Amino acid sequence: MAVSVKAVRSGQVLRVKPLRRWFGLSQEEFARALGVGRATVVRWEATTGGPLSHTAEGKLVRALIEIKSLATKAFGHQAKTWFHDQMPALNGKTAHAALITRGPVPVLMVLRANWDGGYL
Amino acid sequence: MPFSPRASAIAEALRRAQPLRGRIVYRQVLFARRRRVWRPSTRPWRWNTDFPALYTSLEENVTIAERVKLTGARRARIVMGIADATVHRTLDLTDPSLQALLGVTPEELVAETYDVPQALGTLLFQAGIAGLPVPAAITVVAKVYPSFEVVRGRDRDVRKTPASGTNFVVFTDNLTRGDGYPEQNRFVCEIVGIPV
Repeated sequence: MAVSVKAVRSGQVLRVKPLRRWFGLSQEEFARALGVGRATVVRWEATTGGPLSHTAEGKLVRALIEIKSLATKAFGHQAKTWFHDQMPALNGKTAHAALITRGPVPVLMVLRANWDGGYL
Repeated sequence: MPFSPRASAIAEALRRAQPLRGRIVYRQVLFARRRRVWRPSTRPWRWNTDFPALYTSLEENVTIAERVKLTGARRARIVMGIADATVHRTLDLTDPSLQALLGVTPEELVAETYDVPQALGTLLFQAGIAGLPVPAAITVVAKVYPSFEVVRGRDRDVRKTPASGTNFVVFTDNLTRGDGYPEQNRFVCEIVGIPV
């Protein structure tokens, strides 16, 4: 989908490169997490910055933004290391592995439960 | 196949509702959420969907295991609340005969997917049940983190992670006169899972 200058200026475009780097994901891993091809991620980073907020990919990127926010609120400076712990709520997988293989939703559930006090 | 017990089984199950009186329950939240210790969740979790539920445990180590399930080897500062719960319309879903009557297995109640517990919880909420003792889904926690450390003030205590236990889920919209969970005590501690 073509992205207009207006959309970029209005903040409807979600910038993926800083997010991908924060999660420590390669372009290939980031693409798998969002269910898109690596070429799409390469194009986003080289041109528009990322998907539009309201698209299917945009929703997944917004989930990643919420994951980053909740992990930071819950674990502070340990937020990034949390992604590499074995997580019982993810059946013993790490959140990093779950992001790549299952996408952002299961990881977001874990962090929401952590913040909300719900049991999974 | 979707979970749909027979109406007669539900009716019989509801006849088995018993008051839970003066039972100590434990509830922990992240320290950053300390003002919300006894506030129910409005998001859907294992036993609720679009109605609020308060997730507590009947043993302290079980509620800590529920936290380690989400925090793993990261040190988490939590507030532990301890309350004296009375809930008149309570149905004990840890009872094997009740599980059999409703046509559910213990495995389904602690499975990785929540289809059965959420369907059953919704059905019982709609029938007016306010309290559910349920099996805790913490076997995987004990496998990955066989022990955890609790640091409270200067005291450090390494405890074995329980592989099973009982949670107590309160459907707060169904509480009636005389029901409640007045807090008896609370303390701040740090917990961290210790991996194999």
